[in-house]
Amino acid sequence: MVGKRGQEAVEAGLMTLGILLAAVGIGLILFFYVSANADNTQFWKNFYSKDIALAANSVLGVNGDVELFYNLRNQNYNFEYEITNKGVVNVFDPPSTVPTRFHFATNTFFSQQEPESHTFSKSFPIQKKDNQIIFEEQEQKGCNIATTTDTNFLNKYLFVQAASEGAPKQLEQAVQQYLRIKHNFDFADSESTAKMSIFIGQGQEEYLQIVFIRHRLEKNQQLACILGLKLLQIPDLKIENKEVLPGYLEGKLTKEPAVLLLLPKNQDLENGFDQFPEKIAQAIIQYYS
Amino acid sequence: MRRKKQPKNKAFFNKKAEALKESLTFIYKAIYALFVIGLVVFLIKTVVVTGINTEKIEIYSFSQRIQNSPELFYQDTETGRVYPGIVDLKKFSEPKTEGIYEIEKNIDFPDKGKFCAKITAYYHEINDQNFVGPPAVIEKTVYINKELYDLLEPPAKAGIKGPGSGNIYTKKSPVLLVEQGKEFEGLLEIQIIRKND
Repeated sequence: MVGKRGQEAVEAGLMTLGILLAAVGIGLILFFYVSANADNTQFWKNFYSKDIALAANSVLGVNGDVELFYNLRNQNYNFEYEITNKGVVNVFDPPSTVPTRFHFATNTFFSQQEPESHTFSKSFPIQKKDNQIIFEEQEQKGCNIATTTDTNFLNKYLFVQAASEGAPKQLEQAVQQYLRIKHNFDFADSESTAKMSIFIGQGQEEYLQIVFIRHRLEKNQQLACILGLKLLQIPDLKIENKEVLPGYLEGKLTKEPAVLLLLPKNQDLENGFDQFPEKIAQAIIQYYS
Repeated sequence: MRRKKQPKNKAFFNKKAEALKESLTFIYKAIYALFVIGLVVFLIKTVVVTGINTEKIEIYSFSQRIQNSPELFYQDTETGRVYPGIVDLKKFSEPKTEGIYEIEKNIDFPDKGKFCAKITAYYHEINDQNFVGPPAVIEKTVYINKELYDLLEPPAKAGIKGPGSGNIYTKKSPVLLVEQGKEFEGLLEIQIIRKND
């Protein structure tokens, strides 16, 4: 049984505890509120969805034929942009499938066009010809992409792994060393945390094979194309781009962009092998340009 | 019995007074804490930009689409150029199919609940020379999303705020009207209503 003084002490203690809990609760709420507002991702998703839609609307509102090259302002995000023929612009932040959305006014002709949507991951052109709006996919021939240079590729976390010992392992180390020293690249420990993955294996053909899985956004194909063009500059090296089905290489090559380089049999250092790291680096830099 | 010495410059409270003092200072502390929290929230809301307000540019862009629309304005058959200062009255006609005006085929928002417009051409009737009196004013109107316009016009004109209303923007410009080869002066009024978010 607690006396009067004891009861007062208990009440005072409970009061203090209550105040402390309330302070902690309010502090946590404020902390999460500030964190949510400090993250720029939603801002940039909103920005791009509205900017692309308004650009398309403006192009349609201009007299005559127009071609507008839409350049991305902030290269720090790997968003994916989808424009449907109903006039909806969706901006995704992978791996999230929930887009930020904005609309522009299309016309009956465009809304009946095929395909129903166009998807981009980088700068793209918006054209108006004969009063119809056209969103062209990026050219895959020659792998020409945006012309602006982006030095933020250093922020792109890279994953390079050899599938076997021997020449693949040597190349893995050479590539990592070259990229680390010359370009200050950061390397990830696994494919899941990397922005780009390159696997290196030993092939059985006389030529180099660049293996990729075609996904919806075709980033793998694009990387394979650029790598192929750069590696073709090595004298006497023959290259083949090979598209495979998902599930190849035991579930790897799933996170875009990712490719597997299968070295020609009998590939060694005397045979242009030493140029590989430099050409791979150039290809990565061009991919992010 | 000696009386307890009071400390200098310090009020001496009995138990009840102490309890009351605690309650009063608690109120003061709570108000102060609320003020600090409110200030933090206010600073974050004003300093950190999260929303992007594009209302004005959306309206402007929409009005540009209307003004460069070959479904309302005169279009040169050879060059294909649209002249936003010349209105083709033949195109100001009632909807032909399914209640859709011609201009709506060229300006089609996927979200029908956001934008609407009313475009009216005013001009004087071309009078018979024998007629004495002021010429009548004729109006010809086309709509973009008429259903939404009829719904939003009353609250928007009344200045009502909120999601069930909208902001109305009016642009008037003198234009040249063309009908059956005849040209005459008129006024074009474009009223755009954007529904509030």
